[in-house]
Amino acid sequence: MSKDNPPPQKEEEPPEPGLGPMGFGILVGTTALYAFYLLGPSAFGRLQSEAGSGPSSMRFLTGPSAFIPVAGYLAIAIILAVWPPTSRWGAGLLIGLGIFTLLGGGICVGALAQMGA
Amino acid sequence: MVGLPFAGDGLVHAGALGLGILAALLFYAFEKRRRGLSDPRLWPIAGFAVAFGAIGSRVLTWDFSRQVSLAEWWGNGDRSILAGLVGAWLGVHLGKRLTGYGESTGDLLAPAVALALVIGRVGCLLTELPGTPTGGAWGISLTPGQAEMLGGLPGVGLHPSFAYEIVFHAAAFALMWRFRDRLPGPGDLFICYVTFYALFRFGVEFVRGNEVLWLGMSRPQWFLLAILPLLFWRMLRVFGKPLRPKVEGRVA
Repeated sequence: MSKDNPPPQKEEEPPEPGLGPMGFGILVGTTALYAFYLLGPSAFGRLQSEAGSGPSSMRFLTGPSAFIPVAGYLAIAIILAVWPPTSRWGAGLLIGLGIFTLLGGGICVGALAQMGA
Repeated sequence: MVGLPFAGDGLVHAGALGLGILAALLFYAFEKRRRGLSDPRLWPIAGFAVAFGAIGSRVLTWDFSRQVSLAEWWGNGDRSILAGLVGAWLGVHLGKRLTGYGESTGDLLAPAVALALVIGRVGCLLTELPGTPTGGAWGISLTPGQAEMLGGLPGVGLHPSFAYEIVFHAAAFALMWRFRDRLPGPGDLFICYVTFYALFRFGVEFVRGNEVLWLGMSRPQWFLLAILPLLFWRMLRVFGKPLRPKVEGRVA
């Protein structure tokens, strides 16, 4: 090998994307879940009262069906996490679901589920 | 004796837990970078661990015999770190299968989990029933109101079982940091951590004050008795091989 040969170039790794999409996913996901389960029942109840259909609020989401929004959210988050272009978003949404579930979210879902009881 | 400053305070408990999750994610990011791991699938896998760990901590403790619906259990039932760890383990495996990631992630996750538990258990220590009576004048003492709320005995020293656990996880974190690059195979760090935690937890359950299920042992102890043989078998594989020599600098 000649001394004039340039040293072999290091194969450049693509830069790792920033934490932006993931952080945004955490923020959006957690906020959306809390908003849905905390503000949703009262907002829907007010709408129904105004429409004169009684004080019931979100009765269609009581009992086991209270888990439908969480299940739907989880399914969307998994699809986004598995698809490479949106994997950071999906990771953020999954972490957001974990935070919501651990930090009081269980009480929200449980309370909504028991409203029909 | 010391008192329990925030008995039953869900906000304090959630705050410590939230800080624990945040610390774990930051450590995961740091350790991923230190090991030079840039695979984009690693964050979704962490996401699967957090989401399924949280769901597992609620769902996997569901006691059918109490005639309680899943919805009621989800809101007011027991939560368990052990069930959360099982859920996170299942989540990681699901995440790896769905993303096609084939490498072991245990060594990356284990110290992060220990760190989360060091901080998260502070919330338990400040708010939950500490443990069984110590039999001495030391320990955590509950007021009559706190004892009624938490189901403990007032005015006697109770084992600060969560403090024991905090010390365990802090020591485990330090040891994992010390030996992080020296165990023979990928995933060995995780196996060691989980096995020693299972053993420790089995012992600490005797002073935790959880409901006794059968033969003087609680539900977590029976669960641990079932999985400990598997963990011991995995440990034999870890320590059947020589330790790696310490390598200076970056380790992939």
